[in-house]
Amino acid sequence: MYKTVTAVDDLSFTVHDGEIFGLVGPNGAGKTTTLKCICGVALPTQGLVLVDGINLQKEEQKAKELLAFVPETPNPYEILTVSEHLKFISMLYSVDNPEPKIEHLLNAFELDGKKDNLVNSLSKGMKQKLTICCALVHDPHVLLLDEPLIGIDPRGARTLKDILIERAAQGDSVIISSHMLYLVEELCHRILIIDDGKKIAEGTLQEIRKKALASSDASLEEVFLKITEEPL
Amino acid sequence: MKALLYLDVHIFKNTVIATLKNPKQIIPAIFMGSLFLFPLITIYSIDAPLMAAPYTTETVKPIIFSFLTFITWITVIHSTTKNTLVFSLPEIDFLFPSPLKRKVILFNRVATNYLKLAVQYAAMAGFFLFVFSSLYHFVFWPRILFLWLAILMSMIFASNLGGIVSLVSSHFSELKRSRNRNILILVLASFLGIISGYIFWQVFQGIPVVQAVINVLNSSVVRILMYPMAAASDVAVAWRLTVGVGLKLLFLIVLCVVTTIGVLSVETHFYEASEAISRELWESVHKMRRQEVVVSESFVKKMRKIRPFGDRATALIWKNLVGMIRDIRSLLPTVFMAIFLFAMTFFRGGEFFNALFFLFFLVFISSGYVRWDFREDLRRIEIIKLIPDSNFRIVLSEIAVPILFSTVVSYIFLGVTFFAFPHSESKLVLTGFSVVALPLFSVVMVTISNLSTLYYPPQTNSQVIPGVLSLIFTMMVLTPSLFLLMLFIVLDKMYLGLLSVLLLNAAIAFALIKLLARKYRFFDLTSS
Repeated sequence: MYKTVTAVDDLSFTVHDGEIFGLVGPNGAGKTTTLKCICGVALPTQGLVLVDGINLQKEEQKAKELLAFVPETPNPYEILTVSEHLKFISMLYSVDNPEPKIEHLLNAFELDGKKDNLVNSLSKGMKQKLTICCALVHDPHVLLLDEPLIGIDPRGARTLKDILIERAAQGDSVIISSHMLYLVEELCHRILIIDDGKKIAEGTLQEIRKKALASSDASLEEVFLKITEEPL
Repeated sequence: MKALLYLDVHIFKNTVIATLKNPKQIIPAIFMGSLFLFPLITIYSIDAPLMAAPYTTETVKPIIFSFLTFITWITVIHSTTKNTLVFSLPEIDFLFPSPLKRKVILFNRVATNYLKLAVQYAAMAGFFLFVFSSLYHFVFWPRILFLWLAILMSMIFASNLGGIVSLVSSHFSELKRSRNRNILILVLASFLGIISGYIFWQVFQGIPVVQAVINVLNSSVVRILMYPMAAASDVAVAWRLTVGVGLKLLFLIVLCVVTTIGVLSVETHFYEASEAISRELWESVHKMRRQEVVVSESFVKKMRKIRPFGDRATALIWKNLVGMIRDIRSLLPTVFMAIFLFAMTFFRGGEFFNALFFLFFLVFISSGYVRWDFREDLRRIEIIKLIPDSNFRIVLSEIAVPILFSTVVSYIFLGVTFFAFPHSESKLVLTGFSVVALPLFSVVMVTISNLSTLYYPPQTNSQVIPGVLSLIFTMMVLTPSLFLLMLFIVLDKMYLGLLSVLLLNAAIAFALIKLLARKYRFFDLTSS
């Protein structure tokens, strides 16, 4: 007996330039699959993904040059050193003169003392920081982050938040998928709530509150619990 | 492509440096290397008398042919339902979302795989051919080249064929893939049926079975049906380069190039399917490394529940007992192995004394299979360390279940052996000796395995080395007992010898448990 599972169904949304966009939903809602479709790792059976107007399915390389993806669990190359890893990622994205950029990122995430260490000697949090540095080294126009703060220390988390706000201010788009609703509430301009692969609500927090018939000062957590409990 | 070359070169360079820098890796590597090199140097140095090879080219060729054919069929059948293009997790996380072309990523994976295959087969073929060529006095070079090329080319061909099948199959639904697999299995079954029929017919004509098998595998019908593998087997046994061998070699090279181009030219988005199988494989490899158990839920539901017992550390005995009974992975092979070994010993006949060796071997095997002690609990060692009890009691409770299991199993077979073998003068004494010696031997074996796990945790070390070191340690510990026994047998005081062995092993078992308790007390997984 074989059955086909539809992870994401009829989901359509737009993320504008300079916007930080939050993707939230219960476990198994289809958040990671959505991010994987956007970064070209998973292939949607229907529909299309446009990155800055470029059709990802048709011009994959061109679209991917604009993207960066931070997966939920960091799996960097264990047997490269930290600086070699970043150099390798710079080569993948043809970054000219990457050294100053690498130095800056290592300083920002307090990895400069570890740059000659093998990745397998790093802690889980440090590996996550390295993965974030890899995503930022080629200055992507669209940044996709899947649970980016898991395992990161408070200073690293602050640095990341500052960088995301700064990049959005420069006109880049950021999509964050997270269960840390306070993070989404703090950072995101607009939010998309999905459940069982389908869109439940989309808009600013205020708009979602209205849709959920929640009070005007209700937190995203309260709104989320209400809206996923009683689908509208 | 430049980035991938940079990656491959740096991974290779760093792996070599990391291995050379780490004494925990280099010392066992030297040991393993010397295990292989020592027989090679010995064989090369000694002037061995001329020996007649037990196999001729005509018998080796069908063996190679059937082996290569088997591998090819298995690869292709497996590829119909499972993606054979396995990538590492860093490749999935960093290369798949990158702007590199999919075909470049695929080519890099395929090329590095082939390079690894080439090195592995060169080492394997070189080792075995060197041993045989030294023993049976035949030329090593250029024979090794033909053997290596033939195996490598046919394996690349099989791998490419599997790759093409899995890439094409990735377009199909699960149902269609399953149907395709069943069709292929049916074709294979028919092929094997025809071959078996042909062999039976020849045997019926009065030809010996082995000769009949060789005749069928060398027959033109079978060779034409699996011609690439037949050509590879011809090249594998070649002594020198002739026109025929050269043409077959050329055919294999062309086949490899064409199928490699085939793999790279199949238009498909393989990322998703490859990611699923790669993550699955990675998970199972890590489960194996962590030595996690495989438990069948339906099996567990059918089993009778064991009421909890024990207090503080002794509660671990209940936990390990429940785990062992529910862990089919360790239980069933041990039981089957015990029955098989017993049957072998029983049918061979002989003295009661000889049959006892089987029982000690059974303890040796079962203490390796049943791992419900520190070997299983290493992942939750922090929780175990919180138990408010003495280290000695915790260690005793941890190792109790495998000892209990191997003792019970060996006692059952000891009872059967006692009644199955004819009465002899020493039977009663030897049985009495075994009743005490078997659990003592089990304590020694299980404790050594636990010591090696705590000294070389599988989470942070390779699997092979601790196993080998554990085996060497076991031999070192048991050698004095053997010497003692032999000495007393020579002095014609066997009973005194048996008693001495028991006392010596009791002392060894106690010392090992104390050592284990000490190691456990200072054990810290993060620093191991």
